[in-house]
Amino acid sequence: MEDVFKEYREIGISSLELACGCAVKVDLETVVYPAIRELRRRLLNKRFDIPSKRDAEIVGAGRKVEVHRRVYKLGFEMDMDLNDIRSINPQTCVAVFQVFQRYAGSYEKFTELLEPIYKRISESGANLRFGKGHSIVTTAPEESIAIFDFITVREPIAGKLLAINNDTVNIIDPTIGIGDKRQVIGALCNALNDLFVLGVHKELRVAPLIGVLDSSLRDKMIGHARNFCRELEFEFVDVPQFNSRRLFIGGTVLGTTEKQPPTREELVKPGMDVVVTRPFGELSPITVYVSSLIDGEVASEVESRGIPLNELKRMKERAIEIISSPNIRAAKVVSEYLPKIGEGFNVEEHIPLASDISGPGIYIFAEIAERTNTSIEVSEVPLLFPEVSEYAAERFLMANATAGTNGAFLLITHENITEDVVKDFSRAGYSPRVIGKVRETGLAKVRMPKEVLKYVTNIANPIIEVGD
Amino acid sequence: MNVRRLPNGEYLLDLRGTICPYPVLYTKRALEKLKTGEVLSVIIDNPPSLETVPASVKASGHDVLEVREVEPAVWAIKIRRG
Repeated sequence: MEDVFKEYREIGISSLELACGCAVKVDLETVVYPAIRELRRRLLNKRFDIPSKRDAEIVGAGRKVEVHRRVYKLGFEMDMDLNDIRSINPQTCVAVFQVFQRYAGSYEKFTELLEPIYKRISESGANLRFGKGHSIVTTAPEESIAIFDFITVREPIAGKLLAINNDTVNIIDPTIGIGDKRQVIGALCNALNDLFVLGVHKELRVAPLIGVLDSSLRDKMIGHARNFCRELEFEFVDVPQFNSRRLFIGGTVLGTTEKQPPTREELVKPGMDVVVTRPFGELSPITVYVSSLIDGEVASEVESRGIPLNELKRMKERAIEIISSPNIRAAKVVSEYLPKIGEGFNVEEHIPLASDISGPGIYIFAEIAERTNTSIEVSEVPLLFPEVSEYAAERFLMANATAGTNGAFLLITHENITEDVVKDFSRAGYSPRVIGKVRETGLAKVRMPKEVLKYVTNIANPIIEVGD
Repeated sequence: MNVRRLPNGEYLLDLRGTICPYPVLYTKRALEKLKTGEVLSVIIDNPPSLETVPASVKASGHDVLEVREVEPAVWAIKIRRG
């Protein structure tokens, strides 16, 4: 492990700052969403829209789609060229904000940091919709930056939608080299997953985002992204990269669909089934394996539980393989159960709601209950490596040992189609199962089995009830 | 990750910049070097560690004396070795 730490140190990166899987993000519920609400209020009369909460951004498709990446420093006088924004004439944009941690702790501070850039963009006169923006934390104050990917759609096409997502991670596996292709592919699969869960799988494009100081390493990683696109017949979008002391890997991804997205919360009704496309919790073997290399007691405790270290390493490799496999076949199955644009949405034939389980793990059920204002009963928690997740939570190595990256999908399906949906996902190579039911509407609540307590250090969510 | 002895006889472990699972592991390692009754302050800036570090040291039989925000988004967890 010291050898790998040394390799990272030699290019100015501390492994101890790198989160496995989904990167260290600014808290959505207490910071990002309240800040967006505040910014919307302050910029009410401007010509652009900041949606309050969003996963992938969805706009009308066009024959020509351009991605224009711009990087701006935050916390300094804005160096934004307004004529540049005017000439791009974007319809929408997705953004990554890397913010100094002092600004990440409260929505007031976060708003203070971001407001100047939104105001400055508004001065361009752009009629712009802001899509997904995600925010990561840096420990270096001079590295507070905003990376905007402005999207220009020309020659609109009726009956087709363009979905856009951006996401980044610090690292997928800190026990292998940074330049290993699985680091890049895993990060890109994670970004693509938010498109795939919507059934979007056509005309896929990838604009990678690699933040690292070493230019030869960056070139190597960009090369992995380019090869990944070539192998899967995705379009590689060549966009500017930049130097960052804090490593991050990911990108902006785009795809089209002629189908309506499964984001119809209002159609979720009691009696519908809760389906997962496969067991989840990809991150626990990576975290426990890393811990076993640092702390001999972890290694011996894991072995005393009947998991030899070579078996733990094999589990870790299996997790990396899952994370590095794009869920495009799952996207195609979801798409089969969606109506074309302009057609009626029939819940007895179509999937009204699908969501990516990745980062939240078991907390996804609470998110879905809140979004649909329903009570959901979950009868089992299917994990890929339950014994490792149990150990990770018990030893406080992970607060939520059900979390993942490039994770399974959660689907809400009408009982008339559940069996067919499960069969189709099985045929596509997944391990789907029905794990719960929507019980009532009018009150957001989740009931989960007691076993879930083994996989989190503290359930700490007021709408989750645990019982037999 | 070096443990520093302070003039008052207590110890300090600065884990700013590190993220899970490292704060739990390095706090455990530092406590192993102390004698029973000695006090260690761990400085962290990773919010999930505010939950996992105190919980893990309590589970190992140590006492959490205090958790205090010492500057915006930076916390000190004061632990007495059990």
